[in-house]
Amino acid sequence: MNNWENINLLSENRMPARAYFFSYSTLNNARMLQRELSQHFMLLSGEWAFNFFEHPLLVPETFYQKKMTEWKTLPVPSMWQMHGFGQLQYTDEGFPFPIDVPFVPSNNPTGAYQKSFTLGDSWNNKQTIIKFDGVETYFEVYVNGHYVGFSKGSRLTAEFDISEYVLQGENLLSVRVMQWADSTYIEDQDMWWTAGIFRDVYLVGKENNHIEDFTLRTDLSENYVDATLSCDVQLNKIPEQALTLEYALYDGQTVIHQGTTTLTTNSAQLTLDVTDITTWSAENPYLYQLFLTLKDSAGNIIEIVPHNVGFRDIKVKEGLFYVNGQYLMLHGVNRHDNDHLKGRAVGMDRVEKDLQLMKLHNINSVRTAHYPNDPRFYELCDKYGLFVLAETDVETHGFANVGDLSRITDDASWEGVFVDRIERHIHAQKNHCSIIIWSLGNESGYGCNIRAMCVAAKAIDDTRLIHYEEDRDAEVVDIVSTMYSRAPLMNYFGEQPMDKPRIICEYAHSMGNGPGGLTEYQNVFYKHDHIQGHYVWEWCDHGILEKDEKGDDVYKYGGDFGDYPNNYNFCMDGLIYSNQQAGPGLREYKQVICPVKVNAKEIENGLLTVTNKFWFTNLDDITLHFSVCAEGEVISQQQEKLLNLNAGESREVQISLPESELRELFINVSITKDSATPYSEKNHELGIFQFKAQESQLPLPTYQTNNAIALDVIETALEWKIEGFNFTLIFSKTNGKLISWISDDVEIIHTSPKLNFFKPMIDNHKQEFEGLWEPAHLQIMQEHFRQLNVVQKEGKVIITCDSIVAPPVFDFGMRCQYVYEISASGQLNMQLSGERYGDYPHVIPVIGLDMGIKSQFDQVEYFGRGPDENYQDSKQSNLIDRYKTNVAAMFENYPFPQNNGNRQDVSWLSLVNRQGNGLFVKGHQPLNFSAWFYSNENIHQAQHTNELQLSGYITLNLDHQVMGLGSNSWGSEVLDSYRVHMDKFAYGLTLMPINQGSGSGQYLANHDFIQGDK
Amino acid sequence: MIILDNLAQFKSLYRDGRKWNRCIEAIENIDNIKDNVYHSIGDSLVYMVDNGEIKNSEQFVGNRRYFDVHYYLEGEQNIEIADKEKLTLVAPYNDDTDHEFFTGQGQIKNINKGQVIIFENHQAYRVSNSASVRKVLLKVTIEDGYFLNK
Repeated sequence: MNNWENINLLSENRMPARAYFFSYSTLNNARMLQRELSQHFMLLSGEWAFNFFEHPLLVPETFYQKKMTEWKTLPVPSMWQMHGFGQLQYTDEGFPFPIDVPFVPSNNPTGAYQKSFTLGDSWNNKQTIIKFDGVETYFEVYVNGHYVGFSKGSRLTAEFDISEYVLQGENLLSVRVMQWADSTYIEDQDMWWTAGIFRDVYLVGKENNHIEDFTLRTDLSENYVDATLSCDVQLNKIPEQALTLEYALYDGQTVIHQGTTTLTTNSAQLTLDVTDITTWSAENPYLYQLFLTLKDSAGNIIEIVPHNVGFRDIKVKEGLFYVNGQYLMLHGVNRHDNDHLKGRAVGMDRVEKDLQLMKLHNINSVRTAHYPNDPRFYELCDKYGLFVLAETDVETHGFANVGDLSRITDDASWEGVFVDRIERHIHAQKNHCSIIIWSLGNESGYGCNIRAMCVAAKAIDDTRLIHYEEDRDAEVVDIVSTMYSRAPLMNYFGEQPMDKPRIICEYAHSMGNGPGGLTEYQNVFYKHDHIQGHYVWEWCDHGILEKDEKGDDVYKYGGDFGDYPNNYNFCMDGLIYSNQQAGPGLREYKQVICPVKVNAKEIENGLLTVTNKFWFTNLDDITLHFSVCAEGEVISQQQEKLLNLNAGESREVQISLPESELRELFINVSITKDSATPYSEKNHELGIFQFKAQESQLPLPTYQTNNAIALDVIETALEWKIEGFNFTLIFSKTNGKLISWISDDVEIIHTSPKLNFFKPMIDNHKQEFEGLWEPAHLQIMQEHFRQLNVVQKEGKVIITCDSIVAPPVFDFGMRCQYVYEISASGQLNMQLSGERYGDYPHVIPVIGLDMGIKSQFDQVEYFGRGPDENYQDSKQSNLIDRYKTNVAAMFENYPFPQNNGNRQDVSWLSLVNRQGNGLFVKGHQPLNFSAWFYSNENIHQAQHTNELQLSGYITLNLDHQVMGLGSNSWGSEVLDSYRVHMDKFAYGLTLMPINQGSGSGQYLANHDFIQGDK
Repeated sequence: MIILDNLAQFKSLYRDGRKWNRCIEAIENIDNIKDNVYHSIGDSLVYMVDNGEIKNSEQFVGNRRYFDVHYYLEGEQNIEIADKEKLTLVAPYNDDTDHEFFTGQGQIKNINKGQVIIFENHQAYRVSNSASVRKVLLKVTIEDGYFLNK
């Protein structure tokens, strides 16, 4: 039986798991916690000789003994598929080969890696250990022709003692890696199937006597003022002569505790009672430094082992968990390792930027979905302050496809495989204060092996909590969990809670445009103490950046590499794009979890309530900036500091409002953090709020122009032509459409205005599209003209057009009416209405109007919600104000093109060319507005950004109702309040050509167009 | 409101579809859960054994996105049911809870041990408080057909 198809062989000669740490020669170096400065550290990452084989037996025998000088090179760390070897494939959960446990394809893609390294004199008499922090999936190690051992567990560190095989001078390391193994059945996470040595490889040299492992524990006093730091130290062996272990705990540069113990055995238990501690939390990641100095009998330093210590505990009391005695809620995200250029071989620069971005967006927790990360990830979480839900490398999701998700999870013969993974993970990362919860894996059903993992985890570490989502009745876990439970279901959980704390470990599937509904989720979370954590799925898109044949960038996903089966673009579901740029969903999430809340108390009197929703911190370092605004103009500003407002407390703030202002008034609030942090500059903005303090009381004068002349109505065989001063509108008698609008000799219209009930599908509406809309042909609805009526009344021309907009095949649709009212002063008032005929009770994406206008009118100004796209159920991070932008900037260029760029609550807008000529629009009620350089049809059909083709005009969408986003690419359907149905509707708007002399958009908007020009 | 005489009838009539299968899965798991605590099957079904200690609303409650299924394990109870359009809305629909509340009068039905009730969302209902009642409450999604989630 092959080792890679034998579940009873997890490894050979792999060293026992232990904490990740390094030894230094001097205190100064140790303080740096930079492993490159440690004793006898040699990074082997870099260019390695490499060859790819379709079958493991094809690797030549000489590979193990001699340098393969003719081979190509491959960077380590990397995934070989990202460098042209093997096959990229993306599936959410399906195994890409037949299930035949424990066997895998005999043609097992194999990478043969070689690296030479030279050991100098300083490595003499050292125990030489080679460490692999991540190899996917099965690998064997050979040194100088000698077999060393093998390991499985792709995202778990594996160490081998190669002392007996290495020589002074040049050595040859050969590593044979296979993509598939029996362990693949337990590593079936939702991500690209790739392989290779994808994390660093390095040598560590250890002295004859050295610290093999150490385990820290912090026990805090009841009042969380004092603490006991316990440290169990294990040596590699019983020393021949007594050694000395000195320990010192530093607070900054100050030693606050130190001591010495003599070692005659191979272990020591240190106990440090520390008074007046500063506790560690995500809000204040305060770290002390512990130095363990091992000395020989002559007092010479053997090694100094440093570690950052955070004083932190987590305890469950009466069904809730408390960190440092404080109730809290984890505002989290699920983070995969993925890079748009390197796949899972992420660089630490990217990892660090991820964590900085999380902190910048008010996120206080991260779930390592669904496997351990590079060991340095946890150090960064300690430093930046993120509570970690640390998940190990277990997922058997593919068995769901055969209706037996628990097949190996509830098979006792697999117990060793499962238990090995939680034990190795805990041992490696047990000393990180940031980790407060261990997770036994993801989506693997439930059974005896989960129970065994839980027992094993508790045996190593009883200070942290255990999570596993599919233990739905919380038989063994400390935290009960679900994923994608809808907001009202979470509310039920809260109303009748279990006696264990609850989190939702995945929700708000952030695929494409969305997620919507974060606010309602958060309302429910805040309402119930029982719900103590929520983790958005997921942090980052998994798109792979490539150039198309024209050299343009394109992000690829499942199926783009000839891979089949695949789950298509289901991997493009992050809050940030593949290239680490934040998307609108992240900005919305930041606002929804903003730790300072502002609510209206008596808004008409300027009275607001501020609530501190930090869990550990008062608001002394926070400044609130209040602006009173009218029509986009700041009228007054006010700053407030709310000193000594502790976590959970509220305080009222009085804002001065102008007394004689008639305009619509808003109070805008910006919350900033005064001090700089390792991730943010001074005065970093945490969130924004807006309150309407006063409706407009401005009288609106009737709009009129001095040059207006009486309208001329000309009927021809095919058209109605209406002429006024400097403008002509033409309506077709064949279809009832406005087909031309010439103003100042410039044609405005490119495609006629038409009522529209379909939008380019967003990922979060795909289930509705495939289940409801496409079968009913909503994406190809037709408009059929019924009658056109032209009358002249009170100096205006009123053209009424009746039509139906309906899908082919069926007997339902909308009976629509357009009423065009043309005034001598040049404006066009449109009254749009419709009523359904036939039966269609389902939701639709939109009730709206679109039209094509000249592409030169791309300079945009509007008064409405912005500056970014916003929707009914995703608008908290956008305020109503006056914005200047342009059509290109308004387009949110999702890697899978879809409806985007909507602006809500728009009172007026203008689109002009660079000379100021263009079109002004005023809604008779707030409008939804978007504009793009592509046709609706093109955006709907395009599946990559390079399939978007400039249409030659601007598609201007002036919509009445746009359905909310939801997150039902996997999860919550659009909430009831944000649904749009094919119901009776009526709305109106005014369109008018403008030029530089027309006055500003705001000036025009302050006129009444409906009654004008009598 | 649909009243079924027993669970066998429910299993027979509502045997197709993931959401119905989950109802049975939940009912078969009630020996493993505590009373008056909501548990879940999959992403979109929650259920609880209500032992009569939870006070019922005096107003009619209506839902939109989830409908209730009640399976009576013990006791009997009166349920008053009415079309929403014939009632007076007193608390508007809330997306956080999937509830809206009404006042008015409806038709009273007496429900006994063993019966299964399926509430339809064009109606709202209120139930009498009864300490003798023990029943399974299931909150079932209205989504059907194209519904994919686990």
